[in-house]
Amino acid sequence: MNTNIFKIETRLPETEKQISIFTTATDTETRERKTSESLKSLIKLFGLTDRTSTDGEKMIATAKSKSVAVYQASDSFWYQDDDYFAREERKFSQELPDNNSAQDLALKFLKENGLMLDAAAIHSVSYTTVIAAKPDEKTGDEYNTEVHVNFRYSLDGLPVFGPGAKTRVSFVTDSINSGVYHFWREVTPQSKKRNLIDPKLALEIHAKNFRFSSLKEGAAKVIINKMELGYFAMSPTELQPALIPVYKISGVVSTESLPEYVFDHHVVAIKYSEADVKTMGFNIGNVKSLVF
Amino acid sequence: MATKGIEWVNEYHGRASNLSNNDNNAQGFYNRLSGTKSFEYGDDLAWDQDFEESGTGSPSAGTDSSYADNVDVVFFSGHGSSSGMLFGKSNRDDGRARPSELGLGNKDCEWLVVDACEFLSRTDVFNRLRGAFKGLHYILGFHTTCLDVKDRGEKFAAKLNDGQRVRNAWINACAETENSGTECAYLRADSSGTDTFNDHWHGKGSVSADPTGSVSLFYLKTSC
Repeated sequence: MNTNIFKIETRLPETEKQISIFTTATDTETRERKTSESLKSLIKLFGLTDRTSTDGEKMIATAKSKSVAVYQASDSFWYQDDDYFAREERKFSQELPDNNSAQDLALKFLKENGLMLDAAAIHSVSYTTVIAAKPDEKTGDEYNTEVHVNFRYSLDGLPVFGPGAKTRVSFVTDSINSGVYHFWREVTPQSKKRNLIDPKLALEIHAKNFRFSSLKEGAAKVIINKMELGYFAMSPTELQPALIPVYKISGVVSTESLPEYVFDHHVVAIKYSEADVKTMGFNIGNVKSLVF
Repeated sequence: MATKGIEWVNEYHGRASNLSNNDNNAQGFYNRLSGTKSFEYGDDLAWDQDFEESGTGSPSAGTDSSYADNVDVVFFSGHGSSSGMLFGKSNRDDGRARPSELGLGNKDCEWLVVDACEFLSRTDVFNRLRGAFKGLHYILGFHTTCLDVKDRGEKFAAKLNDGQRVRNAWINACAETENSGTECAYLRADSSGTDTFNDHWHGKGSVSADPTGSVSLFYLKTSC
């Protein structure tokens, strides 16, 4: 690693020598059955009609402003009420539940409907925020129109990163649920664990990646300020045969043209073969890259 | 005729770290969205001046009337910040399309998509970007940093083709491709007699008249 460019300002993760592998169901028959079953139960849960359609990627049921979409590639769904989801009107700011109430409501909703999984835990509360500015106003009028309770996932005590591992329950009042998305795949632990690569090797692989190949000494700095071991879950639209063991490397790059911008990269944390790429679904991005 | 253009950068020649997926990301949008393909420029052929209003900034090499403002929707995928969209080469203009150099919609553009970090940071957003709206309906982007992903453009295009509102399609595509810590955003213009809130892609639903004159702006950010 070129220490004139890279600086490590974090402790490397203390890891076991091996990591569990979690696979998912990807055969077509199983996926179709699970999608169909999920849609039926969600139609009942959200009070929708049983008229359904598909866009080839999702099965969708609608009723007036409400819709639920079940992703055929994963065990994920997204419910939205368009009358309330991501709206801009100020009236939606008046009765938002406070943080604690929103968390209680979200937990109650998920538990009562069998959606609160052991792997999930509340991570944060966030908002849809609107700022409206009349002509020539420089600052505008700022208010929140939705509160979101965000859940993240962990397996074997390790975080699951990526867009395919999150649940969000959203409210505009104590009694109006504006949306729920639940992006997750049911996983099965495999009996055989895989050897982890050393975190130092992962950092070397990361530093040698083409992303940094054109940075010049004296003109660029890369500070690594966090490194975590975990798994990566791809978008709910993707078939992913196994969650990918990764080191998540976070840091800050500074160049003259773009001072201090942060990055999150993921380095595959196990040594893998071409067969693994096919069976575990490591095709991330436009290259079968160790770093994505 | 509905027209579209894309520009993307992966190779930054040391101006910033390289990126990996912006070609696929932008091309997914270009190939999936219904309409006429007007231009695609990537890496060293993607230039900041293509987004800039003629006569603005220094250097003032803007040629948006031939590119970004000559299509209905233009999609940029690369590095960004609240200071602008960053390009890999600086020898055409200065390699950065700054907010103060934008002026879109006085020819054609309705929607500018900036799939890049922090271009729509809420900090000083109205001061920075009000001048960009010369008939433009929306800028869609991120308040925070975002991931370098291969498929957000395609997902966004698919949702537009399905008839979702432009704003919903962007928010939904971002949620499907980002971690929950990311916040996507849009900046929308409206004026008397216009309804850009309900904008759809051409042929897929209503499209508002262009907001001009005294324009109100609406900024929305939400977690993915």
